[in-house]
Amino acid sequence: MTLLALVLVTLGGGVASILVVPGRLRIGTALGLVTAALAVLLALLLPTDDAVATGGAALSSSGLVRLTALGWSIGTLAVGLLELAGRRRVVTGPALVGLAAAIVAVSVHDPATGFAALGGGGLAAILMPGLVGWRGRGADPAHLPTVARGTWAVLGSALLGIAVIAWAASPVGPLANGPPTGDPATRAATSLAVLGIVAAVALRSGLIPAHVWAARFTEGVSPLAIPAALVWGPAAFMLVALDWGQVAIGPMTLDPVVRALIIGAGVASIVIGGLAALLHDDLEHILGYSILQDAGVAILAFASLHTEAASAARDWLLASATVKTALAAWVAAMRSTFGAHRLVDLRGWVNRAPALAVAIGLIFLGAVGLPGMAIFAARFALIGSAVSGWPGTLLIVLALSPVLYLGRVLAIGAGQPSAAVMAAPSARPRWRGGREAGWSGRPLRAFAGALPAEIRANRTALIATLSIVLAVLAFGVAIVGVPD
Amino acid sequence: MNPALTAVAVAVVAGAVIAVSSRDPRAALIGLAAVFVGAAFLVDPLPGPAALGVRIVGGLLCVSIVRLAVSPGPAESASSPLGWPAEAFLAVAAAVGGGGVAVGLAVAAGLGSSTTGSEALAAAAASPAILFTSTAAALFAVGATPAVIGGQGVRRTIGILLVAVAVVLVRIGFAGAPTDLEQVALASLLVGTAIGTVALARASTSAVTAGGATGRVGDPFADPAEEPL
Repeated sequence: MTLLALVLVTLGGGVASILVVPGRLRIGTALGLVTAALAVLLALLLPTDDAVATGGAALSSSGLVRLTALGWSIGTLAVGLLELAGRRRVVTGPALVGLAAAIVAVSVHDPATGFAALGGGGLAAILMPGLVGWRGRGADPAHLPTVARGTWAVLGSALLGIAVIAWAASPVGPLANGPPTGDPATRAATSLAVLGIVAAVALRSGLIPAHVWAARFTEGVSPLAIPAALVWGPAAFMLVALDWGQVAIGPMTLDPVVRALIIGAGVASIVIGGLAALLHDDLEHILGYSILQDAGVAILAFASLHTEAASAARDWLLASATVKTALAAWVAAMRSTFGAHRLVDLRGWVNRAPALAVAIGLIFLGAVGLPGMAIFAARFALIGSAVSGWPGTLLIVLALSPVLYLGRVLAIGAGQPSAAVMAAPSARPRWRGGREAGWSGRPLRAFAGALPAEIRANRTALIATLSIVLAVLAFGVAIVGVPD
Repeated sequence: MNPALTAVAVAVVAGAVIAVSSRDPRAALIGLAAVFVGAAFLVDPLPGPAALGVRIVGGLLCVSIVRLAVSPGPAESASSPLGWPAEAFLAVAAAVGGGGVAVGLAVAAGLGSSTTGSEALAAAAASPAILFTSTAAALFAVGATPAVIGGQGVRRTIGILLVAVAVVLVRIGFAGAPTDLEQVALASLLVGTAIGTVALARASTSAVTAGGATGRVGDPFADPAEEPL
């Protein structure tokens, strides 16, 4: 029942927050944050063998469901708190609705239900930040087309996924009689079904060549909106697709053309994502293209559908999602601290904000991984399952490009401070002396009364602390992966 | 073939034709309501009352949301330039074509294989799945054009919703009755589609009214400045 409670709490709280925020900002914000905190609590309490039968289907918990719920809810709470530093409130409510949809989708083990839930639940994460939270929205001609394309991507991917699932399972489909046999006609039809699902995944994730909307979206919205829209939502979509591939099809040799197309899309996203992250000099583009590269690695699991590749893909998706959530929060923290987002304006930031340096250091280790870490092994397993020999080795090297683009951010931070960095408030915590000496009722009341002012005075330090918390979580997930 | 289901399917298709071809936005909304409510009944066997209620309420919620996209001033013309007779003909042709293809595939897949050729055809054609697939084909044919090139406002919104309902009917026609939970998920998908399309329609209308740059004239969703990366 904890699973059902988690779904109902996040869905109800998310919808309520979205509806209340426009008219009652503080109440809506509080509602969203309290719901996110409850979601974290319920995710921590969620047993891995919880199951509930509802609506003719069964929602069953697992290590994967629990980690998804935990990572997403903690990320939502953290970005919701970080959003308090700004004027708009467009992140928490949509993220909670998306979380509810993702939990249903991942726990129900029915791909049509999963895709439908993700389609309906993933729209708010695109629409609210895109329409209400777009930075410089009046003057930017890319505003509406980008949001429109993102909306069509979410809806189109869900509808395409439902259509492909329905055809494949129909009496005229290749999976009408269970997992496919080895005859060439069934193999060709099954490969076509896999290609359809991969197309839906590519559309939702913003993979090459459907990446334009995702790149533009990353430019225009707050970095805090990126995790729900471009990280966790597509990750959940890919998890549902993987589950379908494992259950309905199982390991099989796909048609060579289809396999080449899937590998091609993955390789293109890995290469171009890494190159773009390296070439762009603003933090939002680095974030966006690093997410694209992660999705390119994950898509390679569909080239073989082997059990080991699917398991590696789950580790990769969850670990990279938490790492990129931490990176998004860090980018927002950098913007809030220094008022700049271009690397040329952020020279020498490390000395001015050492806490943020600790955070990006942990994110760096989480993104790259070390031997023995789940994310490190997952990268090797996914690329190795699709591309062998020296091309595979080269692809692994290219997939390790976080070393370069995140390393560049750290290296620039160690240089001579720029004017923007020098002008930024110190990120070191300080106490303005709101508490009187002695222990009596008055100092406690005085302390409580001074707390809002202290929070405002130490806003930068608190933001940095939240970034570290997320970075620690991300590092932990990158080490452990999905528990069995 | 179940005569009740057939009547519902005819009503759904008629509602779709009215929705895209009527000059009166109110009539278009009534047609859309017929599509959503009727589509909830195009399942065999019928779902339980709760799931059916969710689909119907969800459909009516979609219509209420679409109503927000209708301009408050002089009635916006959402009508098809082809007129309702042409749209009706297109819908019937698509239904017959889609149904014929579905029957052929069903026979090829061995439905009714214990009978002779013409009897197999008759057995396959009597299947409710063929009716659902035909209705889906009709809705798709009627809704695809306004969905793609419908311009701003309610016309594109209605087209996209018809396409979404068509996909739902394809899912039911191909893979059988969904579970109650899936019915709820499908209802949420349709409501989400309505919210998304209406929000974009209202945003583009506001942008055009405010004189914002939205790209090519008549198509606010065109991106005037593409970047390769």
